[in-house]
Amino acid sequence: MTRVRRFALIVLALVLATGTVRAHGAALRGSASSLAIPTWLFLSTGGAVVGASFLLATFATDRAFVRRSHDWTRSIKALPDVLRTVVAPIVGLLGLLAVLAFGFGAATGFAPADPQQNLAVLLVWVGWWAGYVMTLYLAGNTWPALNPFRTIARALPSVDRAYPERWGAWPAVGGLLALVFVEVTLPLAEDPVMLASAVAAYGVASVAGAAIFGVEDWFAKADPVARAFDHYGRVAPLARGDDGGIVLRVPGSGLVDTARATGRGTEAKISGSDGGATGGGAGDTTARDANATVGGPLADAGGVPFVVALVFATTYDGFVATPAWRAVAEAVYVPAVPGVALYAVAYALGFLAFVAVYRWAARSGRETGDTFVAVDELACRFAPPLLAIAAGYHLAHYLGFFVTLSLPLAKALAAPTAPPAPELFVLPSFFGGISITAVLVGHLVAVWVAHAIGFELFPERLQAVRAQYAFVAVMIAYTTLSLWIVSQPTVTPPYL
Amino acid sequence: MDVTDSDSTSADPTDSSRETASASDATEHVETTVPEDATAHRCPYCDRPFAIEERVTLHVGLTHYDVCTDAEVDAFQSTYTAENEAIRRYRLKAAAVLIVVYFGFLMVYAVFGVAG
Repeated sequence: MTRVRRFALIVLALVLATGTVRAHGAALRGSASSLAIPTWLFLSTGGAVVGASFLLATFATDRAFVRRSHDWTRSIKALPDVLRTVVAPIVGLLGLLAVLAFGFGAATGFAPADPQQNLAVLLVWVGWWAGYVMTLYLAGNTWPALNPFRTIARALPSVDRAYPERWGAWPAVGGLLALVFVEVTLPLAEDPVMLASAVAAYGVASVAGAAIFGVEDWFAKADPVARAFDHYGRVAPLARGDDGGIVLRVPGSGLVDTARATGRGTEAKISGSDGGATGGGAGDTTARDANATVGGPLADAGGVPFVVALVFATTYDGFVATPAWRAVAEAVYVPAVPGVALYAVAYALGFLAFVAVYRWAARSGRETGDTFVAVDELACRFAPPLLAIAAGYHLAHYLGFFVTLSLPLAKALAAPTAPPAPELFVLPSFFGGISITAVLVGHLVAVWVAHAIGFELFPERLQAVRAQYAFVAVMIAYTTLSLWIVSQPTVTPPYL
Repeated sequence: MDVTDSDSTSADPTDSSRETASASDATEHVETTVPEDATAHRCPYCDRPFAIEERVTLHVGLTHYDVCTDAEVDAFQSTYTAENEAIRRYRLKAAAVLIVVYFGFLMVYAVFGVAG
């Protein structure tokens, strides 16, 4: 059988496997289709799809074919520089101004207080966190140019202290965990004034950090939002090439480059980093030229826990809205202790559990793969596929949300001080199927990328397959957990 | 316990051909740890340790193809081809698992899927 036909057969098999789950998932969401299945069957099917896709991916053992699948690139004519250096920063600053003006303005009556009418709330949660982040992994990372805090920091003088190597990504890990915790426990999506305060506080911290350590180092290493957006961008098909132009690549292949660049040899400062002219320098690093970008963000201390935190944050966000969490919270709750403490403990335990499980997978991979590759190295190399999973979950959670609230966002943009009563689009019933598809596609991309990374790392092909067993087991467990969360009815988190 | 061994592209200074090799220069740095009681077979070009001799042969052919000897290229090709036998056996097992999983789920759905 020719390689093309074999590949087509694999794709067909995967599509058939995916189709079965989709049909049943849509039924669980109460649509008019005919089949109802117990939850455990739905969950185990999801897990089986991921496991089956791993087995199917391992059928591709032609090294040249696997390498071609992620090495293909095409250069695209670069957009005019003025877009990146002038237009994007202005758009970013205007957005920040709008959020602050209409967020604080809700206190004085300048802007409506209803969250579905307030432009600050809609811009941040619908426009930026849902819609804009989708463009990051579907198109490419444009945040270094758009980031208003970066623009402000570049205009200010900087002390330019050396950023301590030991810190690595840990400030970003703490920052991301803090941001998500604040978002879960505070009504940032209901209270425009609180939201504007949070944005202002984050902005001050961000600019201060850049003023101390320099714009490049701060936003490349310590800023949680910049790092998270950089990571999402690695899944995307578009990226900045080393010559400053735009490169089109297979979605997910940026993750293989990221894994290749995690070698902890010489750490080279990202080329072209003069901060001032190239707004997009530090955010997106393509490792096509190994000499330019050896190191990469995952080689930083705490780089891998950051990826785990990104994945964990989405899970936690969904988990606290389930009836099961409500039952646990009610059983454990003691009136003397504030409800927030309960959430903090669950948060800390959950994050540590995720990190521990991932580390176990890396240790187990060293055993099953019969290799001398260090556990840290394995953890580093196999972390990029998690970003495809994170992107899939983001799409699953936020596409419907974005579409539903896009109309109020548009109306608020047109008339921010007095928008009409909010009308929401009603989602057609197949949107549930889109969510599940997004979750599964994220996992399928992750499985294929992990397969490619294994081939790059190990000289013996079956060894590469065996080293991935534990990672696949973790992915199956994680799919099951996430599908379970997605299938649960949403309840308000208690005691907040 | 474990001996942390950080291998780098340590070029032999007396052999200039190795220093100018482009593929070997771009060899990524792979961090390895070799337990004290383990035998490590090392790559002659970049010193990376492997548990099995065949893996060194494969590694040299895959990564140091621009500097290795013709004998090493031949050894690589025969070892790469020899992998096919093990791969074929693995594929049979994987196909069997896939078939069992697929038909297993089909049966379970037939029993538990309720038309409503």
